[in-house]
Amino acid sequence: MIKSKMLFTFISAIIVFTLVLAGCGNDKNNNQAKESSAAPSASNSQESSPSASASASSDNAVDTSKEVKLVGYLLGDAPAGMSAVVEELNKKLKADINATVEFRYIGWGDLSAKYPLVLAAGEDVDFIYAANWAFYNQEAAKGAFREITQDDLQKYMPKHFAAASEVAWKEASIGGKIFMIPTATPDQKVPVTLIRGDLRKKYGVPEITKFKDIEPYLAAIKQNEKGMIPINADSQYDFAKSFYNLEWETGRATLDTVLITNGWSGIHTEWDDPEGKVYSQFDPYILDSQKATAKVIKSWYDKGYINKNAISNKVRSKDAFEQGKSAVAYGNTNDIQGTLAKAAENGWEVEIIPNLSSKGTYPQDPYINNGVSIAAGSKNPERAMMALDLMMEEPSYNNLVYFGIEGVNYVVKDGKITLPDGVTAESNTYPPDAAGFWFTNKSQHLPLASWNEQYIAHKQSLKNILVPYVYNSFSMDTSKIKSALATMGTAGMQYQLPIQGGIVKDVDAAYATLEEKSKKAGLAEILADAQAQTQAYKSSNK
Amino acid sequence: MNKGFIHELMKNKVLYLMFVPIAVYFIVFNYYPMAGIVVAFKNFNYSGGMFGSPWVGLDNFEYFFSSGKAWLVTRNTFLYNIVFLAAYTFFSILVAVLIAEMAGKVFKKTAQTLLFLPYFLSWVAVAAIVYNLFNYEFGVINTLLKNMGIEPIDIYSNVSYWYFILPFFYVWKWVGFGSILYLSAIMGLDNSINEAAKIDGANIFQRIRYLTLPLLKPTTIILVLLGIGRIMRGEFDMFYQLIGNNGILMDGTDIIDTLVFRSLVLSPDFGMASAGGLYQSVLCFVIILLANGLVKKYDRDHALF
Repeated sequence: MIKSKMLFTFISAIIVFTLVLAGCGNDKNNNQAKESSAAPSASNSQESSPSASASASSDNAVDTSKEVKLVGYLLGDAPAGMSAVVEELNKKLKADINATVEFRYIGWGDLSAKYPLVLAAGEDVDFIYAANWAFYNQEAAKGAFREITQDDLQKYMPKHFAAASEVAWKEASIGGKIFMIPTATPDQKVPVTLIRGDLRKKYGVPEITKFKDIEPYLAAIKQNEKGMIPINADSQYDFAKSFYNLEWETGRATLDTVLITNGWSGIHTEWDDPEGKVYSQFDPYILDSQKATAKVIKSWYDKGYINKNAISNKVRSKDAFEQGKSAVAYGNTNDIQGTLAKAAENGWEVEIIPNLSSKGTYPQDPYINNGVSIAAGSKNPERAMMALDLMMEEPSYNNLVYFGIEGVNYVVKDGKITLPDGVTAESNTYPPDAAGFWFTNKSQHLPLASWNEQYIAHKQSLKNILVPYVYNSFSMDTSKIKSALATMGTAGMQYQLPIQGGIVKDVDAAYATLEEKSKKAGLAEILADAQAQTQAYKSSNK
Repeated sequence: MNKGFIHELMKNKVLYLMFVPIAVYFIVFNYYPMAGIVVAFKNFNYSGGMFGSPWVGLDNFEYFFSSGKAWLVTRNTFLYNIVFLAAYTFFSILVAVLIAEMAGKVFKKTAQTLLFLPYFLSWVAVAAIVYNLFNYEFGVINTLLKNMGIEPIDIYSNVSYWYFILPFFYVWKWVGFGSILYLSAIMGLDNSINEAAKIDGANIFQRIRYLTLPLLKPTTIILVLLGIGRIMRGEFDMFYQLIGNNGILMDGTDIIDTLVFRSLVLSPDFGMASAGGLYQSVLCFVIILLANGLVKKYDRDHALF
């Protein structure tokens, strides 16, 4: 009897416990919500956070007596040699600021899904790669990042604060508050098309300096190289590239005014236009020239210059190019370095065609194209900033994270960075630029020995190509039009991408369908909001 | 808690004690997270969290209906899943019956293993296989056609092929798993009935037709009902990996999951994503109630609840 009584108590205790658990679910979450709401509001207020002000009172010396372990998120994939580099890095960090860092990666495919999740969980992240194209505005608006004050910067990141220009901070500020530490050296890069010079000469095609003159080369490849597709495009990066490269040169060189990240809002601005006039996709000024371009691309597709199933292909033309399966590679000034090195090892001659507007220009990257943010939930924001200051601006750190370990991944010869004996571009476990540290100070980097004359010439030509774009640091607040944008995005993917890839049967009819679907999605609403916000931006910048 | 409940607890205390772990599991992982439904009606931000963010009413559902595709994708999801469920059930039973009747032990085990193998493949890998089978330039099928002197076919821009390809790969991937469920049911049948029929002169087809299949009915109903419970949940991995962003195929292959994913992948918004999920869950709930109601009406013993 006693025994069964005890059992009964036990069972009822369990039942009560589970009921309480279920019933208290809301309360518990409320508390969490309160806690998490407390953190950003503290950092949002003009005073620095409690810990920062506490250490600020203890004079200028930062207390690093307690060892901390930082967690940083980068984009892409860890190179094979990452663990060796991190070990080396942590040895240095431990000695200098008594901290170690663990790096985790968000793969390109997961970027849009995982990036907000990492921040939403918010527990185990101190700093994270940030950029205008990687949801900086949206995430900052949601309170995912810690505000960074001038005091913080001067105290914890003195080197970077000295190196970065005023403009960088201005670009990074949202409503007067800074949530990102932008790079001190924005990338100097333009989109480029690579072609095989050796094959071009072999088939007697005259030299190509403009993308619009590429057709004879495509025809020659199609006719003579059976194992190769002239443009072997993938579904993500390359799919609409042929269209835009041609449209920029022969028609309107525009950027999406509203969405900096990949996507489609149907709103265009020409980068050569200092006034920054805002056009709808279906303004005849834009539409007519796009139609003409789409017809050319369609003819390329029909002639077999573009692979038929690009929409389902996941191998970038750049990679197919390295394998000898594509005669054209799309990329940009920075990401083609590896391709050039591999082509050189194969004994191929590669020619670089920059993809520019009809005036031969391309917009300069903003500073906030590469940067790093401190997570709102970071427990050691000071140490994270100190570690970042070292990685970004201290040459020994900078070279370590960007090029790897000296003697293993690179050596310096005649003032140039080159591979150690016995290491090839293929076998290097830590290729330059590949580990995701794109925010470090690149002016400290030595030139690479693998750069051929043509690449150096291309790099030097950039200063005449890059122009300021009027909305470089403008970032639209999309909160009012997010439903319309989501619907536009789906409409664009279903009805515009096929046009740009040349797969539609009738270009005019396809544009008519696109127009109908876009109107239904709320293009007018997006246009009105874009016009209002760009106006406000321009007048505030005068 | 009335007296009857306490009495019931006292009476079967050991059974209830054994039930506790599973109850805790469901409360923690299935009931407790349901509170998150509120996110569908909120403009989510990190500082407010799940319950502190401002209410926005039905705004989060707007994108879904303003796209004009809500009906289309709901219909696609429903029809594809009906076809999947029917084909899967049919082939699973077929395979289970065939395996049960097979004589050679080695052959039996080998066949079962081979059928089960695709179950372990992720859709990412299957998508690569499908691409290499069907792509226009280098695909196995088109290379074969070209060698035979026939014009290659462009499968990736013609939706009618996919009405067959998708169910085919669905069945290919899941039939191994399904047949095991049915096979175990067949193994549990009373063998003496079968032997009695054999002695009475029933041939193998008669035995399958009049004994095995009718005896499998309860299992089939339960498994189909469970399948119907997920009918508004598209096989997202499959559609996303096999079709991706192929606009040409989209009207015929877009399901709720892929539409929601595509709408939000560029501007992640928890509220809008939850709204899509809630819409599916409500539909699933209604459909399972209906299906169970029908079963109850015609065959009271076999209804789930």
